[in-house]
Amino acid sequence: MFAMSSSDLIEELRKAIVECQEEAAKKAADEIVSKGVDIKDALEKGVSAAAKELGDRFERGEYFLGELLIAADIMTNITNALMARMTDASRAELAKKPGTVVIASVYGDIHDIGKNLLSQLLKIQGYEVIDLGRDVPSLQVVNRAVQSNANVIALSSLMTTTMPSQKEVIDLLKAFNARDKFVVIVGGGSTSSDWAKEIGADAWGEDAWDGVRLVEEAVRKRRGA
Amino acid sequence: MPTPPWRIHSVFKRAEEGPVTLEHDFDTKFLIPNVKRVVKDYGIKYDPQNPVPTDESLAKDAWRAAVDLLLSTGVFCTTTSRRITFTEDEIKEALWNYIDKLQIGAGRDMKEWQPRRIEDSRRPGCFFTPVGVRCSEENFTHLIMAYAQEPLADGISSPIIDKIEGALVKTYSPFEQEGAVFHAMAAREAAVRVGRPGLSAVLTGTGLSAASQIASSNPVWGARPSDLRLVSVISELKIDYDLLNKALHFQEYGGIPGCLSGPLVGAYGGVESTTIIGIASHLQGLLVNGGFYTCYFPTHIRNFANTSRELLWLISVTYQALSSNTRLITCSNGFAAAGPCTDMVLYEAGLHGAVSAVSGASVLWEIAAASNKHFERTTAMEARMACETGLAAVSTGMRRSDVNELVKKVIPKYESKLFDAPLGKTFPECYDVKSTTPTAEYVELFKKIKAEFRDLGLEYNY
Repeated sequence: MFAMSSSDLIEELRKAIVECQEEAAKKAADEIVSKGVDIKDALEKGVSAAAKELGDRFERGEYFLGELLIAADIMTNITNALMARMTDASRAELAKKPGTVVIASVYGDIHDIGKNLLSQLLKIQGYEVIDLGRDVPSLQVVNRAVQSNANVIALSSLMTTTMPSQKEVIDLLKAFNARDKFVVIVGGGSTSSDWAKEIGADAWGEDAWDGVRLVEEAVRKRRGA
Repeated sequence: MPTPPWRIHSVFKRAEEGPVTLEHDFDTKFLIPNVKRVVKDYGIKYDPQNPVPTDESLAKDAWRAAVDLLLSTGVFCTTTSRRITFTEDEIKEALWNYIDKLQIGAGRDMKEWQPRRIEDSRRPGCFFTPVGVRCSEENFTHLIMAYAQEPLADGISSPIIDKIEGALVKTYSPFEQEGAVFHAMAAREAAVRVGRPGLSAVLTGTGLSAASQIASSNPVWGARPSDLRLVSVISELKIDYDLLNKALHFQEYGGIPGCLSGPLVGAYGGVESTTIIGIASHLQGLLVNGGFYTCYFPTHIRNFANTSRELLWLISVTYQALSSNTRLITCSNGFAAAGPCTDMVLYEAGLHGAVSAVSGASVLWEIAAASNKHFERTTAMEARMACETGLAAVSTGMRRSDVNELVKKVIPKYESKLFDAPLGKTFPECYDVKSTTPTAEYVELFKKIKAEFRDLGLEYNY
């Protein structure tokens, strides 16, 4: 039996993550470590490549929230295990996130599937996601965004009478002179682009994938790229 | 004693004492793997060529898969982080003791709904609804009157009031309660003003919280015991204490609570998985939510509509499974992608009504327009098309195979536009608001599309 090359092992890792096979992913990661494969290479061509494939599969309607939840767990565990083997300097370099997003289903809204989808998609794209959950008071959203120096606030509302809580977050940001510090994206089943304009949001996300695109755009603009 | 409610205090106790489970684990270790397993084990397979399937074994397999899913997964209480679980005998007990029929409304406006079978020759009930579209205080009563005056309507619901006393209606705020009270009063007034004082209404959509629902219960001016109330499923297979508080109030008040379930295709799975989750959610509705009926609005997560080929398949399989294995009273809630006064919304409405009716739904609960998103973009004309076409499919004696062919002929007219549908017009643009009369333009369009359906074999009663 032939020994697997570094690139074969990395491909094994990528495939296991994409197929949501936790044991196979762990096995590949263990071999990557034991055989001295370049960790940075494994993270880029294994884990990051898997993240892109997961996103593509979701976009094509082949994968759903279930796969994203499971794959994101696997990716987190594998990434932590591999990064533990790196030097502090390398780890610090790789730990840099493209941006920070505070995300919530707004006050009064107990529905969170759309929010969870966006949250998982952003996580697998490497963003720092502070997911505050469902039915989150507006002031809590603002506080966490300020504390974490977030780039983006993403607010989901499924129910018609919880939409005003999206406006409330924006109003609070204005009241605290913090509106310009964040890009505010709104979305959810009851919302529309008209509503986003009406309440002064920066953008309306038609669905979770659109939300990812908007976050990417927002972060790019903030960096002046 | 008939069910629901099924052993109400036992359910509450299970929410307190059931197995502790993190929500993430409920999703990733119970719900998702279990639904994948049952879809595979019971061989559930979507066939895009036959949006109204006629394979008898599919309904049986889908039912068995849904029961297996509920038994192996349970219902998650997000407040206590516990799973509420059931045995197979308990499910059988609740189903065996389920009511035979449901009376809604009062006096001479009382209507009776009953379970139906696949290709049943008995007509389904008809419920007219603008679903959750936002509406101004100014147009609110007249918009409800436009629905309440429809002769086919056994009952009605109302839009969501946008502002009250100049303030946005916001959940948990006093304005929510004010809005809910106004909403209930306006629905009552609308029913009286069209000469149907006992007409049953779903109340009170503007009040999302239990507190506002309770505040709007009043036998004189608000939600009466003869009105319909709703307790939602949190997608998927979840519940919380605010919802259980609503459920308890509705039972104690002597009202007619139902379960509101809207599983999302594209969330926890594709069309097959969501079909099974949706059927299981009807059991949650009976066992946990205390629903005498389930208002069911599966949609696609990307357009919040249920008139695509795959959603019509899901709807058909769901009602075939439920009507051939239970006596549950089921309400099929349409969600159209297009807005009022468009060809597309009338095609969507007609197909939703016909598919639901021949597949065994008890009630045609019709129909949201423009994906239920846009201010005042809803009228009773869309509901009229859905209900008239559903009833025509029944009175014509259409079988599932006939409606399958109907869908295959009509759906190409709009399926390419489902994710970029025309928004159409608003209620004030489609109706003379004060006289609640549809415009000549919309009436002519309605006649044109009805004639097209007639040419395809549907025999309307008028």
